[in-house]
Amino acid sequence: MKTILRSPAFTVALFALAVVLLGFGTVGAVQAAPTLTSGDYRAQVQLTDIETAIVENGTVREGDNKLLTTLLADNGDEKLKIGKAYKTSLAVRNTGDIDEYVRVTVRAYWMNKAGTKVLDVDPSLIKLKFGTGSGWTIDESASKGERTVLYYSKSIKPGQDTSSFVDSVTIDGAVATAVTDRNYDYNDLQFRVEAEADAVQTHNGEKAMTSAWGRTN
Amino acid sequence: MKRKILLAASLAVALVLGMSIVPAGAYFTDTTETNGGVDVTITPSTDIHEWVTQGVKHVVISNDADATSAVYVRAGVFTSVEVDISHDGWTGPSNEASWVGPTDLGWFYYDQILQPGESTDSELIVDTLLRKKAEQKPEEGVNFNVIVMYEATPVLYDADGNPYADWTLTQNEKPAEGGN
Repeated sequence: MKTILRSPAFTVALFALAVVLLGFGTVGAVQAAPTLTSGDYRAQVQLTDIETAIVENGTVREGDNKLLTTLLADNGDEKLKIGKAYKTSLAVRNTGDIDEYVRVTVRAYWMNKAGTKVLDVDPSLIKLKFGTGSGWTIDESASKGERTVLYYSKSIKPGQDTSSFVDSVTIDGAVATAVTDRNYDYNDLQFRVEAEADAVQTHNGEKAMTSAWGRTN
Repeated sequence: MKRKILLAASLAVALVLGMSIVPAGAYFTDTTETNGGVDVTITPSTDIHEWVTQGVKHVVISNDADATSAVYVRAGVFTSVEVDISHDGWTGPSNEASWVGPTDLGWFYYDQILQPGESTDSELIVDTLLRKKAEQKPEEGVNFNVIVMYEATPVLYDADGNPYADWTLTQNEKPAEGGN
């Protein structure tokens, strides 16, 4: 064995083998090069955006004390007239870039000048005319007292508005007859309307509504 | 060994719960909110002013409210004798009526809305002496009363904003807490 290892022929053979292996290695690199440089692909990722807004007569309203600010002026009055139906249009606008389903929760209640909700007067004397019949449906099971929940049965496309969910506001004449110890119960109160709109994606809409709202439309 | 089993079971439960949470947060949702309100002022406050000169009673009603409460007013005349009533600007019990007789209660309605600070422009004049029929004049020396009462009611509006008075309204009064 030692004789073979020390023979010049074996040395030459090993050298030849090394050259062959180096040659294969070079060929492999040459073959790999096209794989690394080919395929200049571009991928565009679009982040979907769901947004919603409440609009009053076409103008977006958001935040505290932004609603009903022009209700009297829009109806030609400076002061509230008890019993008069003040027309307005409250709707929901899709301000995002995907279709959406919406629901609204409307609360009507009385507040005193200190900004505290008054609980011993009747919120039902604030008469809101809801836009039922035009796509909105009142969820009777979730509506009680000052709160009314409405679902819009159609999907809204980006930039589109729903039909109005409130068409008018009327203060019932009964406020003029409620007296305690010769003081009018509703004097110096403010009737308040709160509106909250919830939107959810239409893709897998049923599951999305169940997840977000606990129910389907 | 038991500890390992418990750890494995806990891990399995956590994984299951984790899987159930992921879909709930995966849907796109949005919420927006706004609010606002309008002041309501109801402070009707009226007063009656009346004076008598030479057997003639003059009646003026004023709206003393310092706020926004407009009212309708009416005056009721009750006498023990027949009296003539001059009621220009007031609507009497009927178009023809210009007098109120004994035991009658005649309501006279002021035709205009009284805004705060305003008074009835036209006096309601109750003349006890100028009865057209001389035999119905009260005799000299006979005492009699002419009582004028008045009422006011807040102006109400129909859905179109047209004002009206509802004289059937009664105050739904309840005592103040702690009061008698």
